[in-house]
Amino acid sequence: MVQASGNLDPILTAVIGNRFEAITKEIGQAMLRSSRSPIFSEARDFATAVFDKYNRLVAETAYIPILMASLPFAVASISKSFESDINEGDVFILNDPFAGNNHAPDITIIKPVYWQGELQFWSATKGHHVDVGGGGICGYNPEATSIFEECIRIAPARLYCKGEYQKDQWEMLLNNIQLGYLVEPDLHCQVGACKIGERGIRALLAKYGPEQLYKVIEELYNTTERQVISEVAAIPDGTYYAERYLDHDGVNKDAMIKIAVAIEVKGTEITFDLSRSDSQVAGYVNSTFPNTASACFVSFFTSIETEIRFNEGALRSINIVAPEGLVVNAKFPSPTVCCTISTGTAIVEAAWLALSQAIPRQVQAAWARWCAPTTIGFNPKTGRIFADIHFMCKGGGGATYGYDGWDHMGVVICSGGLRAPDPELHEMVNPYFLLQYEYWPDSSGAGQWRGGMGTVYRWRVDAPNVAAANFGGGVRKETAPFGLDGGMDAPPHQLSIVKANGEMIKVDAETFYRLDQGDIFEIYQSGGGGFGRPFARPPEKVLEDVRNGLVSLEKARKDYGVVIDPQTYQVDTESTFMLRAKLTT
Amino acid sequence: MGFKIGIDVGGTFSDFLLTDDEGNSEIYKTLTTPEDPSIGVLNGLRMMSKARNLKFSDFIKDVSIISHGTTITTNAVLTGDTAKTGLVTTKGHRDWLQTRRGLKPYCYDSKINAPEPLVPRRLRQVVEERVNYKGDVLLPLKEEDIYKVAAKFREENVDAVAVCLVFSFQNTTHEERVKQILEQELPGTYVCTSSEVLPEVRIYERGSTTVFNAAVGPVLRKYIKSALERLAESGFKGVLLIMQSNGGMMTPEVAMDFAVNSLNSGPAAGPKAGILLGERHGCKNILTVDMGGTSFDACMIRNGEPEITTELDVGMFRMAAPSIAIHSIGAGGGSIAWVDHEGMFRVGPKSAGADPGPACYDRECLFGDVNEPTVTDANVVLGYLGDYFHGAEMQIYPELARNAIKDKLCQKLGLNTEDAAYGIYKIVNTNMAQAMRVASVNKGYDPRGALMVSAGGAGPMHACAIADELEMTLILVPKISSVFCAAGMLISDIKHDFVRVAHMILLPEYLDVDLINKCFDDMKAEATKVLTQEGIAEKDIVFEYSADIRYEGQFNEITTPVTMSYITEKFEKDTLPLLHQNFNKRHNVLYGYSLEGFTQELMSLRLTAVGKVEKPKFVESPSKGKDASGAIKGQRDIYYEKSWMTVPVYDGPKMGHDNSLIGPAIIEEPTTTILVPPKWQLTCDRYDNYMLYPEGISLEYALSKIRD
Repeated sequence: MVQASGNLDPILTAVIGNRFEAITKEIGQAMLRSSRSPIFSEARDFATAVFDKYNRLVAETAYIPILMASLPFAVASISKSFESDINEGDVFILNDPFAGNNHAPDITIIKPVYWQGELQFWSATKGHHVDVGGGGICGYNPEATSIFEECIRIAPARLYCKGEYQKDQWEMLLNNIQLGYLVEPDLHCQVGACKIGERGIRALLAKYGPEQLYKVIEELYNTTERQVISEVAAIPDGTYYAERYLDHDGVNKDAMIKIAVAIEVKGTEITFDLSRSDSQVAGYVNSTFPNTASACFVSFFTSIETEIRFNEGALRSINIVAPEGLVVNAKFPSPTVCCTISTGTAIVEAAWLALSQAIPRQVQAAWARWCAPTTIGFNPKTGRIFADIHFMCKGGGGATYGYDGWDHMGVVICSGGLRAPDPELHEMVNPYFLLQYEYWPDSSGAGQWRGGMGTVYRWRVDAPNVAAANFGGGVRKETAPFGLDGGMDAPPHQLSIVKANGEMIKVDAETFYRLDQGDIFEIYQSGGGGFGRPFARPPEKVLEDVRNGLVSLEKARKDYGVVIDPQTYQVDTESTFMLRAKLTT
Repeated sequence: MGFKIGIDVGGTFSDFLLTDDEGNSEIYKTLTTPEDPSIGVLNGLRMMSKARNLKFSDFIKDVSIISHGTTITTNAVLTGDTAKTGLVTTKGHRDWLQTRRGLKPYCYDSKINAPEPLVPRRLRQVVEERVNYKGDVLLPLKEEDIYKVAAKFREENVDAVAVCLVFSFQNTTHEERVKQILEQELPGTYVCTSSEVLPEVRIYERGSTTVFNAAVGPVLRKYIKSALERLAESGFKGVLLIMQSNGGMMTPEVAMDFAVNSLNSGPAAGPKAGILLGERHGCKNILTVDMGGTSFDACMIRNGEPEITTELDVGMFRMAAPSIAIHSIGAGGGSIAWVDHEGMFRVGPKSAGADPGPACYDRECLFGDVNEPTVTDANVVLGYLGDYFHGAEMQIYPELARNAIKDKLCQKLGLNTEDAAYGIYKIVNTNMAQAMRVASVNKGYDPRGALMVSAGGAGPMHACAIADELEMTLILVPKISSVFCAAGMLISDIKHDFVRVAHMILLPEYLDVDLINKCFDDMKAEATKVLTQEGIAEKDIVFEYSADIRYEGQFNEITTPVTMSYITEKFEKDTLPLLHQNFNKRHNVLYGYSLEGFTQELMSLRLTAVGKVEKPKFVESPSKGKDASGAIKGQRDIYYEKSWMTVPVYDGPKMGHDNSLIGPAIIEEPTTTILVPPKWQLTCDRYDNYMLYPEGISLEYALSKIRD
């Protein structure tokens, strides 16, 4: 066959590239369907990948985007740590953020894949476990001031050695975890998923042999690199700067924290420079470098138009500057657990704001931030401890040029990969009673394209003495979702606890609460930011939203300049024209 | 008595298969009449009576069964032509249909719109009421709310209403009362409840299925009524059966209430036909594949049973009624080949469809550009497809195919035209092989032990190459693939699925044997009632029992067969270890591990009730002898694996039982072309179907490898 420009059969490259992608999805299916941590089964907070023998990322499926660039650091760390002592049948584990992991709850488990006695690939998984020890709830401890209060630290270690179960290692780990009955089977689930990956990789090795596969892999990397470079080249040269804030770090509740991103584009080079961000802080919103890098990749990959295979070629074509000692790259022994959901989000937002100066029509307005509790207590229904994160709390997605935001999506670091649990199953297995779970009218930012709808989630506690850690932010004006290009901001979240005695407590970001029988937790999750001037939205689209009870008559008039007759529910065209003209001047 | 007729009502044509008591079969074809498909059906029946020189009324009274597949509900959903539907749900829970599970299919793509639900928010109305997870009424149903909702629906001229209340599967009284009042208040409106349609946990999945049922109910009801009237007028005394997506049939009376079961039933007949064809050769493990113009469907059949799923999405909304698990990808004759802007060679998923279609069709291009090269164009350039396309009824232009490939691909790839064409062929083959892997290997089944049944116009040109990719060694291509689905319907039994939620820990101390048996008895009674009404004798009813089980704390279940006592036909406590074992085994295959000794949790019980229907006979063809050279009508050049070769072209309609040949060769049938590549051979079976297997082994040997 005639050779293509890349000196390689383009057909074979396509075939093998597709197979590697498919293998990461096969690994993912096993985790998705068989895990019991609701965080990876329902919320899909996990990633699966194949790495080559030089620890380079061959293919990946990040079920939520914030994990997209974090696995390579973990694999490199494990591989380095065991350098000359890696054997067929080994399975490795890592969760320590100061040894290459992104944050402690996301446990990395990887398995080397051997072929004819030689290490050829790695089958890799990473998933957010329901408990990793420490003083938090499901890992979230808003009062932690060091990693020792957050988790048991697992340095690169072996769960299996040459196929042998390492009993001491498992016991060491599980003896330090309250919800071991959920964590243990989920560790097995990750090991099983790695085996599914190994099965697929070995079938490829059998068919093509390592030499041919490695030739193809190089071509895959080069292709992706070329694609990323050509996307960068299409962005006008310049430095684009923006900043966003975190509500606070859980410890010093009066101080918002600045995340600053300067994006420099010069020809085919792009650098995300986060040097002007605040110094590291006392509380758990400090980010690790793998997480910061991931957030930058998320902001970039959600703002370019082509579908690009994410692999080593992408990783090496974007520069990220985040000096140590800043909140975006904290030093040991800082607490870091909330870096994915809080800090990762703020980084994406700041980077989008910066990018919107360069490529305005490709960027989205802000999505609603995460702000919801994780809870733990004794469940009278089952006679056992239970723990859960309330993943129904999903705000709206941001609008973009030409498209309304999506409703009920949840935080941007998941970008729609976060699956809401079924409310009936939730009520069957937890001591909770759902009072309301539906759209929150008027929660979205107005715009020519409006933000997605936020939701109301109200529930009653049917057990005594339940501990809650409310994590995430977005409860103030400064941290509410921003609009773009004339689109309006969405309102901040509103959270409160109505105690059984009628007392009402306003719920803050990153804070512990205690709940009792009969207390009602009320969560109003904001919608997404709007895009473009609201007056440019066709009146009939506004009318449709009004008739569906998503936008009120007042908001239609005030934000959109659309006058609707409250009796007939028809647009008053003339008054609308006059009002829009008047409000414009 | 008499004739049995299978009818596949397609988008353009309706295909008919007629069988008589002696086992003779004939095929007919009419134009589908979209405004009222029953007209086309009657036209077909008339055509049959004419062909037999019978008076229509004499012919029709001798028809015992008409088995009927319909795309009417699927098309209604795809084209947005559903009934205007309202939804009633529990106050405080108005939006689950639209919020779905909050997933977006392509996380990184911001330029896509969220799907529009079948019921807009203003027609999603709430009533005050609440039942808890055990079925206790915590808040009584506020009846005045129902009257308000009825008034609203009347004002909006709603044609159908779905009722889905929180935890209704645990206590159906509120839903039943809502239905009763709505039917009183809105006479003629189609009303259905989630506890009738799919009484299982998960409100979005149950509710979305119920909404689909309501939205297509009036459409199917109108069609069935019209068909029944027309048939009755003409003197039809037999049974009319409708195909379901679970691979079974149902009577019109049941279909009108459970219209959702016909949704997406189109592809379900294919696997059933595959079972029929496979069983004739003693094969029970079959991979059926169907490659048409735009899509490729693969389905794994194990031990004569197709895989069933409850996770089908139709237009991004869940249809959770049990359906045959068909893995579909965008790969067909019309799939477009392209080079992305950094030089990657890709095929599909975009398709040129029927219009403009492949470049070689020379249809006018809408966008003023040169037509895009497709898989069909590649097959033309490679010589696999000749000018006998669609029985020579359709002209093709090979030079246009060449030009499209040359202009759009060759330079970018640095390949010559035939290598680029062969690249398209190869990439689409590996994409299809991957889909087959998903349908088999990923479910823990080895395709090497299965028979491939390849149907669809484009499939048999690719079958051997895909088989090589998967190391499969036996392929069956049906002689007449146009009535493949119609035959599948004729051999399908009546089948209904039932489900009851029964949540318990599967440890001896928590095991509620009485509850399990009560659920099964309940479902059996319901099943027997329905099937008896459908004219099935009790002795012809077969039950299959299964349970949805998971390890405690998991979020997804595996449907696991339940063994009942031979003597009592009840579930007995001492079979619990067997149940555990079955679950562990399946878990290990699917997910790479099992947790022996871990607590298992039962979520639901399922009953499948099959009412056996009398099957048609098919007669064998007389042997035509081994030598097939009499059917050679010419020769042409084809390009395969880097070289051109001259191959004989056989006239398919002249070939039959026992005819054999060795590749390379081409066989042209009116609706399909079969490529027998080098190193493959072919023999016609007793029913004139084509069996393909590698050179150097006997057909008997190829069969023996897949018979266990």
